[in-house]
Amino acid sequence: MKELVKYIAQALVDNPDAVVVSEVEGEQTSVIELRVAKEDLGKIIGKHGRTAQSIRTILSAASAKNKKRAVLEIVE
Amino acid sequence: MHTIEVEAKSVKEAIAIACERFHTTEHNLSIEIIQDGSGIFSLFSGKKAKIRATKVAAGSDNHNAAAILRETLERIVRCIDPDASVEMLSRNDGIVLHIVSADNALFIGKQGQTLEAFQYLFNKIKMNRFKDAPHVTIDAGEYRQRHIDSLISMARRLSQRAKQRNSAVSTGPLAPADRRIIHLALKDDENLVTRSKGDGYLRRVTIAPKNTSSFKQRSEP
Repeated sequence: MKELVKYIAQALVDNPDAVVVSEVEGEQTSVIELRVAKEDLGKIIGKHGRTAQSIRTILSAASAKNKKRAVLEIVE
Repeated sequence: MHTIEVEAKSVKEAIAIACERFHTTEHNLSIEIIQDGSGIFSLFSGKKAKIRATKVAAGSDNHNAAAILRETLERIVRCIDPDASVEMLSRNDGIVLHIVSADNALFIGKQGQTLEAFQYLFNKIKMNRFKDAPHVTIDAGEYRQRHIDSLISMARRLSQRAKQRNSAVSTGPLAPADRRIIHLALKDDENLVTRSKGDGYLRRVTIAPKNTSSFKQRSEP
């Protein structure tokens, strides 16, 4: 799931090398933290948070398949 | 501009020269043949082939862009289901990327939610990297067509109800593209009027019989 977020983020931003994804695993839920270059933050969030929402929707499909909940945190 | 004119014995040769000048392959050039050097006539007259070659920025090449988008989607999809794949189909209004997997519901989501998320992200990725690429539609398990069919049958059902009751009936809130399908499905029925009403996400289609006052009564708050 880490790779999923990383790959989507890299496709969206101007600085793919600055994309860092880390996963904090819990018992039932894992938190996926996404860091991008400051200039790219807007691209990841999108108008009214629509891009972020889309990534979360896809992530929830992935967590349904893996039977493990995942939450996406975009870290400034 | 990155345009040159090249003269050579044959068109093929001219293209090769153009490629050399631009340090690229034929793939990245847009070639216009000004004069075809082949044929009997040109053999006698010694006419040369002449082409005009324009360099197309790598990546804005439509064919390339479509292939890269397909690969990108496949990689993302495989993060979710390693056995899934993506097929690319060309249509006259763009390309369709069809997600093929054992579990279509996974990629479609509730009321097409997941598919819509993919669609939105891919339009973003496309605009970010290949502005001139053709229109991309993402589909899974023929969902798009099924969705259109179900909207049309709903339109028919509601129009019958409107006629029976001789009053206006309304759909639920619909996306712009979905409302368009309803309008188009009923546009040939001369006894009906369709109108979009409401604001933003709550916009719905009202279907009413013509020549009745019910349309106006219902529509006013």
